[in-house]
Amino acid sequence: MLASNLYHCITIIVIERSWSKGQECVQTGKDTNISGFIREHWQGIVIGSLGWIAFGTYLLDEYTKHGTLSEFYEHLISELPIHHILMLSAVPLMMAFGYVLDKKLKLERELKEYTDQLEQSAWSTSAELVASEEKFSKVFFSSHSLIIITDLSDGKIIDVNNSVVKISGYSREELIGKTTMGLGLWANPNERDKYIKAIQKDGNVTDLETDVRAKSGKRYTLLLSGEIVNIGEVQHLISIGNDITERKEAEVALHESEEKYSTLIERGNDGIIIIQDGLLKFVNSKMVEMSGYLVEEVLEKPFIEFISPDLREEVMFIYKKRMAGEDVPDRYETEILRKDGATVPIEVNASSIEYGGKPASMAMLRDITERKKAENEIKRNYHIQNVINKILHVSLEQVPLTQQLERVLDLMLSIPWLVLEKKGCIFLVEDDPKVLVLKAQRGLHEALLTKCENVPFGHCICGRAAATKEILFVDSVDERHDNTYDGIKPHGHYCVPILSGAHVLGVLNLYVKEGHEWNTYEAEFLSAVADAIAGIIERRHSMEELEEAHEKLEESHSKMEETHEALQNAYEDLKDVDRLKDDIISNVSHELRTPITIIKGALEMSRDEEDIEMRDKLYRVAISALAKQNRIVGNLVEMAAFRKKKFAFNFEEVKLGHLVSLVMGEVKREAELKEIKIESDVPDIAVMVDFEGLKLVLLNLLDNAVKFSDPGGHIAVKAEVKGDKAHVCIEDEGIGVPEEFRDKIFDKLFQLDATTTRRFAGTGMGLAVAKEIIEAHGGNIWVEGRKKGSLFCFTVPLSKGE
Amino acid sequence: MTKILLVDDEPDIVMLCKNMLEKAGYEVVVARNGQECLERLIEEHFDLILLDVMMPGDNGWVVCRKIKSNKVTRDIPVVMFTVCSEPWLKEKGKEAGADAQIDKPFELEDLLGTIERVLAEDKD
Repeated sequence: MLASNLYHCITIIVIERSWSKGQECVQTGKDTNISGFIREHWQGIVIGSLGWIAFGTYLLDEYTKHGTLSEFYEHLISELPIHHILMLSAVPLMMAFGYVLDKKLKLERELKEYTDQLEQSAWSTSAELVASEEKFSKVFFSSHSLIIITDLSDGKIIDVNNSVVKISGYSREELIGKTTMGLGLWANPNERDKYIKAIQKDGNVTDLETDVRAKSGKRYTLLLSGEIVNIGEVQHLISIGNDITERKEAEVALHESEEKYSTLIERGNDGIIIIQDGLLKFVNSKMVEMSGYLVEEVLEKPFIEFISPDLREEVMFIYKKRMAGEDVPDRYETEILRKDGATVPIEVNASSIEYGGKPASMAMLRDITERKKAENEIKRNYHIQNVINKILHVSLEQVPLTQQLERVLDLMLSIPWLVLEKKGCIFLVEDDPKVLVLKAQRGLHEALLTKCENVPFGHCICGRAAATKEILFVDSVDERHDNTYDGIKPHGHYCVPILSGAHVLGVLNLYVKEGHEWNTYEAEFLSAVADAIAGIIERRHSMEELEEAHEKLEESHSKMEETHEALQNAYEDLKDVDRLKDDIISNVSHELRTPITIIKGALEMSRDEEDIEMRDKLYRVAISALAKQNRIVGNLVEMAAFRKKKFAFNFEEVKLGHLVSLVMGEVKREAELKEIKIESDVPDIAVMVDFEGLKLVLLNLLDNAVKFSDPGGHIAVKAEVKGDKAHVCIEDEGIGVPEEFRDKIFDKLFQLDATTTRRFAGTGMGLAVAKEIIEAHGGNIWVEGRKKGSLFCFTVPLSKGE
Repeated sequence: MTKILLVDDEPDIVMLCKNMLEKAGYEVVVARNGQECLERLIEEHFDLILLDVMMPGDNGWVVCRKIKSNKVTRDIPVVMFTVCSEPWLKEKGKEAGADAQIDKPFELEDLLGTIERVLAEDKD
């Protein structure tokens, strides 16, 4: 039962399996022969015996499971129960069948596998080949490396890639078929021989550096590798080159830059140091030279030890601030302390850097000794200039020369850089051209004030300086000092002659400490000072000369002004005279013409006048005018004569009363016309006068009185003796003379105005002439004001007999 | 009747001129100086002024300038007596504004002729 069941089961399984197997074969399409076979024999098998077939199938199945026949058999024996083994009687048939089948199947399967394998292999190989070829070609052509394939037997180029074309400058066509040597691609043919020899010896060469030459002549450096490849019977050389020209150049440049940099650091003029954590991490050779230490003596030492002790605090302060990232000046000056203890002024130019991944300070140190020196020199020159300027300033001060010299001495002795004792003096040459006279001193010993008051040329140091005209220097009190005294303190001198051209003006003498050394700078400076002093003295001299000249000039100027004034006065006088002349001309004309007009008019009218009385009146008018004109002309002639010969006075005794009555007769007609009454109370006083002159005076005065009086007025003439003089006065009731003119009316050229002038005797000269005449007599003439009119008075000497 | 103001300080000249002008048919008023002359001019109207240069007080030129600078009197013709034919004296008269000048000594006929001419010009 179990067995039958088992068979059934097996059968079902076999069928199912076969079916599924067949289906699987159909589906895959691979095992077509096997499935075809099964399909062919399926009916017979099923018809023969389901069991057999099932068994057979089972066996087949088992067999396929076990691979080999012996295994299969073993399995059958071990697995199957005995009755089953019995059933194996039919096995030989089955076996024969199975074996054939197995063999066939196996062969078929193997064949199939092989074919498949072959197919698969062929397919994949060709694909790989295509891909490989593509890759190769791509790599070959587009590679940045230069690839040249040459025939090793004749050296001709078979193929090249694009890089070769690009670098060489030749086209493919130009390259292929030629030799590299023939094309001249090798810059150095020896290298080609070396390359080929190495190839022939080892079969390959790696990274040979060689130079090639392009068509343009440009050289490239290649890193060349080569390998022999056999293709068929022919030996090919594949050469691959990499252009390392740029890299090479960069390397060279880098090398140069490194060299430069290191040269800069090592040979520059600046010391360079790197400080980290306060220690020196790097110093260049210049720095080493500057410090006087060896490199190993300074490296890893605190940098601050190499700074001048007084400046350490300051430098440390700056360093710390810089390292703290605070803003501190990059540049500053300080001093380094050399190994030998000397100090060197330096300029520091520091910056923060990173050194070995840690913050550090890098500083460039420049030795500024020379600069400092130059600066100091400039400073000293400035000082010198400054002192000279001050001295020049002193020269402009308006103080006595001695005081100026003392100020110069004070200036000299206050110069900080000039190492002097606070003593000195200045001598000048005065009247005696060969003797120095002490003019100014500071701090000189009392004894010297007399001893050195006068120093002859050639005596003592100062005298010799004057005689030789050279700066003399002594550093101690020795035989060269002629003028000494007891207890003289040790000292030296600069004796500087004060020169104006070749002329010695004096000597500047300054004291220096004993042992002081001659210093050219000091000597030059002192010589400049002496020149400035010479300037002061010369200026003084020229000032004196100038002052003298100025005084003279002023004198002549004032003289000139006087002359000018006199000229101006004379001119004004002349102008007055000229104006007077015009007025006189005008007045005289008027005075002369008015009577003529009257005479003419009166006579003309009388001609046609029938009335006898009227005619008579006209005649009288004409005669009166004629008389007036006659008098005027007479006056003029007299005055002209008087002016011309200054009146030849003839003094004689004249009776005053008689003279007055004479003159009154002359003005009578005029007075009568105006109905003016003239009263005379003049006794016959004997006076000593020139008759004509006094007559002219009286006539002038009376004529004026008549003219200025209104019709119907009174005129009084009086005379009396006062002392040795006779006083004569004429009083009128006329217009009077304003007070401010009373002194002036007697001036020679005085005129009140044109009309007034006319009234004074018609010529403007009447009163002036009167005054002249009276004064010639030793008398006076004046005018006094009255309530109405004027009082004219004059005095004349009495006759001796009176 | 034509009215003339005669300004002169010389009594004989005044007498002669006044006589002659009155005979010629003019009405004559006399002033003896500049001040009087200006006073008369304020009081009444004149057709012509005869003005001597040499007078006490203001001289003839000053008076003439005063006459010619006054609105009321500046249209009255002024004849001045001068003393000579010196050009600068004539110039002074012109500057002062005199309408005519006549030299002393003058013919009475000339004086009348000058007066008539100036009056005729004034009428034009």
